[in-house]
Amino acid sequence: MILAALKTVLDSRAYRLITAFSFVVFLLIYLTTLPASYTGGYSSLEALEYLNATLVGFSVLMAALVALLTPMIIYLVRQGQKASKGSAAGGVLIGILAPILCCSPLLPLLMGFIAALIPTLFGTLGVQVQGFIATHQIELFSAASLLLFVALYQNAKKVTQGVCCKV
Amino acid sequence: MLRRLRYRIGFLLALLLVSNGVMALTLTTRSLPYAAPDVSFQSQGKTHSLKEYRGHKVLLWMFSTWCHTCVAGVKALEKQQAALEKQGLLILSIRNHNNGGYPGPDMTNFMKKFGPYTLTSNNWVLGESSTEMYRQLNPTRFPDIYFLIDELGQIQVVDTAPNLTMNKIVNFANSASK
Repeated sequence: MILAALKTVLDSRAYRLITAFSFVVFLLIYLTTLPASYTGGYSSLEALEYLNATLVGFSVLMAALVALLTPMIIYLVRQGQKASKGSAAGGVLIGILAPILCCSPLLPLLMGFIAALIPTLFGTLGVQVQGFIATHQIELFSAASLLLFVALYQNAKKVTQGVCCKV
Repeated sequence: MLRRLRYRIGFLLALLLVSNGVMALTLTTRSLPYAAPDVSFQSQGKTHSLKEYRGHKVLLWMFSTWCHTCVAGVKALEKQQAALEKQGLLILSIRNHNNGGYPGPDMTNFMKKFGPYTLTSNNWVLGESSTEMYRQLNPTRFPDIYFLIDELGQIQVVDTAPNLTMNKIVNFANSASK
């Protein structure tokens, strides 16, 4: 079904261009952001030094999924149909936020601010969240990829169903 | 709909920019330099006080063994080891109290894995932070924070991620003695 939907959408040159452009942009974003846990949350070209095979693999996978999703969503919107964007947004956010929040001063600063208002609730929450992200990065990237795939499937279904789902 | 999609992509890019901006925020609210507090840590079963290291240039690095920048930091410091040792910089590698509030490997296993040279090096001291040291020097519970302390016990620099800010450490080590 996904292949059939892609065939429909990528039939147009404009959508093929959008796919290629999205892939390049998101690959660059993922390649500089996924290793940000080694650079204190900075997503920059310096982060490229800390890339390994796993991070490159996830960067290519997630960039490819986003690149296939983007033209499909635009296609559905232009057709007047309602695209599924929730899982796509969730997948992108998890993939980007996990390395930024792990090991950077961002979360402790934020939690420190909140803890000043509600100490018992947020006193150690920042560290717990950071520790969890740092030790479960692969699982989080897998979850992000899965969400993107689900979004691709949901939107592909709508593309193949055609105008019957028009809102 | 397309406009909303553009807004969302814009939000994502803004999020990246903001996070980079926040990272540039200072890690201490106090103005530098200021006197290092006389706090203690445990090393090889003994209690040591920061005061003992007066007269030395000190890199006091407080980190947690679950954190990725800490792994990169050990590797980066080990790379610069010869130069830093030559300049007489003492490196106090102190694990945050209770490992910063999240479980991880103990100090010896962590160093064996990522920086074995540190276990035999003369200018490295490995230790565990006391509650008081953690409370006074790292109240915001950063997983990775370091202090450059001069021979007079004055904290000159506070920063994070030695792998990214090695130039500050090298410049401090190379600076003229007080």
